[in-house]
Amino acid sequence: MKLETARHAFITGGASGIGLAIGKALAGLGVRVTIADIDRQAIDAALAGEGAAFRGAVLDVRDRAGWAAAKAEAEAAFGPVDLLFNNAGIASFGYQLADMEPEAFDRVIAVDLTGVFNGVSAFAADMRERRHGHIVNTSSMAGICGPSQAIGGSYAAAKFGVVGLSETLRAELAPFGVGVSILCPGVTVTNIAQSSMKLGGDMRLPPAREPDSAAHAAPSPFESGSASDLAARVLHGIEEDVPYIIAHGRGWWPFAEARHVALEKAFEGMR
Amino acid sequence: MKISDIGHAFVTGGASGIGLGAAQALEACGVRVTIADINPEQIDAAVSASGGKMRGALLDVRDREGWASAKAEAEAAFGPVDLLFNNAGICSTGYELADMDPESFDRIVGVNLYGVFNGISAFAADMRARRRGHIVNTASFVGIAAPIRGVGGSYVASKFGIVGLSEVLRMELAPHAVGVSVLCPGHIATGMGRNTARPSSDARKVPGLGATPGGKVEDLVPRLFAGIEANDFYIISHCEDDWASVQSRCVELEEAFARARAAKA
Repeated sequence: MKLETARHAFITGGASGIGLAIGKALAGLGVRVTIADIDRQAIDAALAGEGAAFRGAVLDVRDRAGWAAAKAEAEAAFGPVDLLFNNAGIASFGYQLADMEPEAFDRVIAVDLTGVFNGVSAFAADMRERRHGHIVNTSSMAGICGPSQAIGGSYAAAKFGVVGLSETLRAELAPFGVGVSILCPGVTVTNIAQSSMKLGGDMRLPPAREPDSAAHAAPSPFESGSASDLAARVLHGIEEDVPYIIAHGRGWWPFAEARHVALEKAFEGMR
Repeated sequence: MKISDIGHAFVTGGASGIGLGAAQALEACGVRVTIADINPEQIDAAVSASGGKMRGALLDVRDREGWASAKAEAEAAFGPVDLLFNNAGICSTGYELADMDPESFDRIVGVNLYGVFNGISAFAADMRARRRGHIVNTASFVGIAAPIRGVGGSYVASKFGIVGLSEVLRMELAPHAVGVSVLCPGHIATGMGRNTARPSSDARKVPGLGATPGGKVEDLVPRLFAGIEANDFYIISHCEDDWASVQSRCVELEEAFARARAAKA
């Protein structure tokens, strides 16, 4: 989608991190931005630094009635949404699947996968009818790579699910001129850990990761990057209507490739 | 783990289709089998057909208390479960994501993805503690391939989710001598369409989809058993000629990584 035709972006998880960075980048292009977030205080803090192009919406992406209200209010204020970022997400770290509290599993899937579906459910039909729009769903390296020590099973399940859902969505909406891209960030400096813990304590860092051992930690093979660098990649990806937007990917390709090699071996083994 | 060494297999969606085919073949190898299913008539028919050798468990895989009691009763009767086949699933066809009834999305993801997690939650810790066992999760060809027109996005999401979850589970359980496989069948002649239609608004006929008859469960079972014995991760069946559709995703991802590297240059 040509960004010069974009009028109104609706961004979940929009009050901080990746969501807010995308919002700022779009506002710089003259797009009006609704930042939707579960954290009212974070919304207020974000809006305090921004101008008239921004408005806030308190929204738990699991809440379907909340989506309907947020959409109605957003479009009454800023007109039809033509850019949707299903970006809100929480993580899970440090718990094996066999030991995971079922409610914790539910929470990660509900926010990270069902929350994405809820956004599609709210906005996609209208975009399709207007034959104009673009949807970016935030998955993760965890959605396209083979497992590494960094990734919890519930998070991988949700993020793989977002990939599957989005690929189908892309095929369904393409004939109507509505684009769909899947954002797969590597390690990005955001508040996901804190946000995840606020909702329910699903994060447990391994003992070696205590703060005072940071100086002795081995350098990570994965690059770590800023949300604003990522935002630039996202805008570029929308403009080009690419299926995948990789950001901060250095170090991850071997884990993606490992899956592809394993799949190919499985198929060869069957012939 | 050799099939003949399996003491007790717990098979969800075990009263029809792939689950029943696997259960019957396991029983024929001397394995004690609990078939867990949501359909009491089909359970009774399957148990009778086995001459009472298999036992049945009425279970909705979304029901965590149900899992706890099904496990307790199963293990009281047949001993510890060492093969868990998280196979229960319902499908979605003919509904685009933009139009999908949210309750339908929840139902598909609930049975297919949460149901698999619930099985792991019930049985995996014990297998890990005993350092013995194998878990097979039924995903689908659509959990690893590019989209197929008419196949519902909720189904694809749930099946991709099962693959991702299984990859992590395998890594977590490998040091404890518990194997994990993910079964990715292509189009198989089963009751899944009928089993789905009962709840309602999840599946409708799509011209051309499923037009050719599905593969036979009897042909899938040997693949499944070979995969369990070899502790293969991906067990592929009835889609061996469809590598191109899987490969196209790999190629697109490789291009995306290349674009990202070029953007930095």
